[in-house]
Amino acid sequence: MPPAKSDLPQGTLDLLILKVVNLGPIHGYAIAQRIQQISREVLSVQQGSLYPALHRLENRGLLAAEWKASDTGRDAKFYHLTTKGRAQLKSETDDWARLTEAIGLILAMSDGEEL
Amino acid sequence: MNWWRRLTGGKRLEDDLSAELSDHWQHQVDDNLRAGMSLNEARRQARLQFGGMEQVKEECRDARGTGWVRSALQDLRFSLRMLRKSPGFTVAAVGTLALGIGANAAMFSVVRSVLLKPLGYRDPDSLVTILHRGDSPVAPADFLDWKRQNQSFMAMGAAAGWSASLTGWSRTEGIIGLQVTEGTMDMLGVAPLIGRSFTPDEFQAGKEHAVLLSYGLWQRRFGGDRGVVGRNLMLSGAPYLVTGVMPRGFQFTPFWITGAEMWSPLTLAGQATNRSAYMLRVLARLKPGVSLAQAGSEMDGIWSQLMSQYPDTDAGNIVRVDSLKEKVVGDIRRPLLALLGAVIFVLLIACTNIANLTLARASERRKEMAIRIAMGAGRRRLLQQVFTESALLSLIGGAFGLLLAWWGVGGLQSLLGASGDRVRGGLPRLQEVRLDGSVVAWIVVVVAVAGVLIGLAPAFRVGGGQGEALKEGARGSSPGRGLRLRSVLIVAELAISLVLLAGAGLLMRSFVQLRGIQTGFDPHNLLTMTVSVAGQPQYVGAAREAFYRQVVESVKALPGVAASSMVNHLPIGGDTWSTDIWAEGRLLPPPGEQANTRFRVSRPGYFATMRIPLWRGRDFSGHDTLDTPLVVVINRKLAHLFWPEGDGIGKRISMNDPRGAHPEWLTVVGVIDDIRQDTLVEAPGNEMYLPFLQNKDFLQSPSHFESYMTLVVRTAIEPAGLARTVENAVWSLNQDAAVSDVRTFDHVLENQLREPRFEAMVLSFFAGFALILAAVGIYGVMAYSVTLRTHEIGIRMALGARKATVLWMIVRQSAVLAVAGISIGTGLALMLTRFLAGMLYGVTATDGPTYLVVPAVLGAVVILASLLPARRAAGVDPIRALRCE
Repeated sequence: MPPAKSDLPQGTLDLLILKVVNLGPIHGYAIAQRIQQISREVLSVQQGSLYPALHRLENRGLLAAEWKASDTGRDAKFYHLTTKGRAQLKSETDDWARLTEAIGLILAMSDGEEL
Repeated sequence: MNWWRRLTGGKRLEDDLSAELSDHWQHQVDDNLRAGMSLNEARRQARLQFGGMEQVKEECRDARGTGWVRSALQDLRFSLRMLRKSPGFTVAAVGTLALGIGANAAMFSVVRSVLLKPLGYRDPDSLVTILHRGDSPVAPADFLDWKRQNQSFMAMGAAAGWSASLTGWSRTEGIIGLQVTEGTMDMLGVAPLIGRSFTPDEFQAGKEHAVLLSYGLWQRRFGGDRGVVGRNLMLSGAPYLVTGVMPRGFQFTPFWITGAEMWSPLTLAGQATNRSAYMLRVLARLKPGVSLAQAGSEMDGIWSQLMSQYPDTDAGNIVRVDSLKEKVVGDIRRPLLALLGAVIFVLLIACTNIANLTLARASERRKEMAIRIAMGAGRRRLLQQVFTESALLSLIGGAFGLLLAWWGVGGLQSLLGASGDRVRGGLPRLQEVRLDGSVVAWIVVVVAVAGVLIGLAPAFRVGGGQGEALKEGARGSSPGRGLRLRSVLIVAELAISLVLLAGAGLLMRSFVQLRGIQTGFDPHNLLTMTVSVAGQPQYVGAAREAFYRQVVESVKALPGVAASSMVNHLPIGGDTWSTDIWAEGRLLPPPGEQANTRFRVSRPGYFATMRIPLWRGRDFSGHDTLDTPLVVVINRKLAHLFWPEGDGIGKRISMNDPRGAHPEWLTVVGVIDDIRQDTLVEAPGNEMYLPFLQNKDFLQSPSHFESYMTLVVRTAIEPAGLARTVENAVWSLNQDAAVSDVRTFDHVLENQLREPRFEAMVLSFFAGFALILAAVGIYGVMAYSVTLRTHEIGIRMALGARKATVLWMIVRQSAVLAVAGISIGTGLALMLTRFLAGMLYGVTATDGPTYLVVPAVLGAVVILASLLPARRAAGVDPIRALRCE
């Protein structure tokens, strides 16, 4: 029985991609694998849907890409963060932290407690 | 990667995308194999894990942000395919639009160059003319007083007509020019292209022999040689220093002697007290902040003072200040705007017609639209498709229209004659007309508007009731709706056509009236030219008389010449001089109510040469000289005014008030029939002729205006072919005589008719075009209606309706449209043709015959156009009509 999988909250795929790519140049398949591994298989990303997101980020100038040989010997498209992408990652991470903190506070509130 | 590279990346982007996705897939397969799956299983799992490959690709393409361009391109490709699929429709629509847009652009380029573009001087809006009654010349002393006394103007200048023969440079040629007072050229603010303007010194009496050349003359006679500046030209026997060449396109004055090709200083030294030689056209530049009205009222004040100071010469005249631009284009504004309005109407009809055609196609394409809706196309997407098609049509039409306009502008110019001389009937500033950026901008606007107009009606039809269309053999749930829309369009089209036809009809009738005007003389086989001895002091008195006599005699001796004589000013289009006269023994009129009379100076034989009938008495003869009693020939109108019961022969008239000191009595020796004098359209007024041989001014005056005569030659052969021979005959007697204005009288008349002919032709062309379009439109609607009603007609016929009944049913349907269109159109036309009133001669804007014939013609065309579909309806075979349902 595989662990229960969660769908990604709206808009978070971009953040995850930026975070993963921040670790160093990486190609699409590896990004998908990473997201799955790091989240301990909790988050399921339909692998195909990764690519429109990647391309969107690339077209917005947050990612850049170049073709080079991968460990398989075939050429693969490796993505890396641009300066603009790093700034975006920083601000989105902060946003996310604020959001989760706020939601955590609300959820931690015991029933009947007055705010 | 920027947006533009993503848009244009095309195949490379696709290859990258495929390579990236297949790399991913390959990785997955490899991992699955390592996990121990069989090859087939590994691939199947990889496919499942990845999701739909094509869908992902499509989403990646969407991520490029270039989707709307792609869909637009798709629409464009589809539209092109649709247009290619129905070449008949495409050719009709594009041709119609090209004509509509081309006519629009050509007309607009005329309006733009003639009416809208500023005159080619510095700050042209502050330039004004100051003339008697707004159009008559001014005497030198009055001009000098105005210039001294006014506070409203920064500068004031005056121009006088001039012509001279240019000798010593290949062949002798008469050149028309102007003499201008000091500061006039500077006031215009146009610097010479090369060389310099005049110096103050050159306006001193005796030093005024300097000349500025026009660009055209410089090119024509000197091949654009810059070395001509600083050299002397022999003009009518005197050396003139060329100080410079004016830039190309420079024209001065723009309202009078517009063909001037040289300018020379005019010194008024000898004329400073002359208040009776009306020889100057005065121009001035308003001071900043001074309005036309302020300047006008100041001039009124100055003038009333001068009138009381010099009542003998100045009383009775009025001074008017007009904007120079208004003076140049004021008369032509309304006709041009009327024609521009007409071409806009034509374009509206063209758009209506194409909208109609498109609607017809829209009904054929109901299924296609329904399928697209069923497949999930949104209303917006369908509208985008409709407007892409109409924009494409309009664009192609516009491109061809631009070509037509380019060609049409040349046509308009030659129709109107590029001489640009209003006196001779040409349109002002016509030579400036060309297709420039603003015309192209106008076309762009017109194309955009046309695109929207064409798409509007079909766009109305998008959506609504489409679902039904997919049913097998469906006729559509609301065929009536399309028909109604198309009927409205047809009524509009008919109404606009009627307006155009009525306008064209009025102008045509007016033109026929103009053509039919009897001039009172025989204008055919008549060659005319002016011969001047201005600037030749040796030709004075007897020498001048001998020269002119010899010219006439030697010309008469030329083969092909039937008769010849001279007059100072030709009738129709020539200069006009008038004077007050008094008759001996008649009640003296109060001052200001004297009989104003045109007068001309002629040599013996003039009436016979012109074939002006002599009603009573005789022509002048060689014996009417300074030694014999003064004589005069008058016209019947004047004879009737003074002596209603007799013919006036032997009676005496005077050009000075007989109450004054020296009345100079002239005895009437002849009375001619009335002829047209100033223009073709003006009815003859009082007129008299003075004999050259008894006229001291014409025999002796050095003034330009009294130093020339117009040679008239009655030929037995085509007159234009004799022009060179006659010119050479003149020059063989006096090689420095200035010969100019060489033309045939037919040409003079043609010039008078040029503008009305142009207006009538252009409007008739457009009206004809509109009529054809309306016929096509009504045919289309009726044919469509018959198709829709085939089933109904089949039933009617099966129930016993006769063919004639069916025929009548269809014709009646179109007759209803015709009546609606014609009534609305007649109302519109009655409102709009009032604007033509000033362009009409001998016809009123509400001319009965025009308003009877035009609706009848339009109605007949509508009935004819609907007969074809009606016959088809009557030929419907009821059995087949019912079975095919």
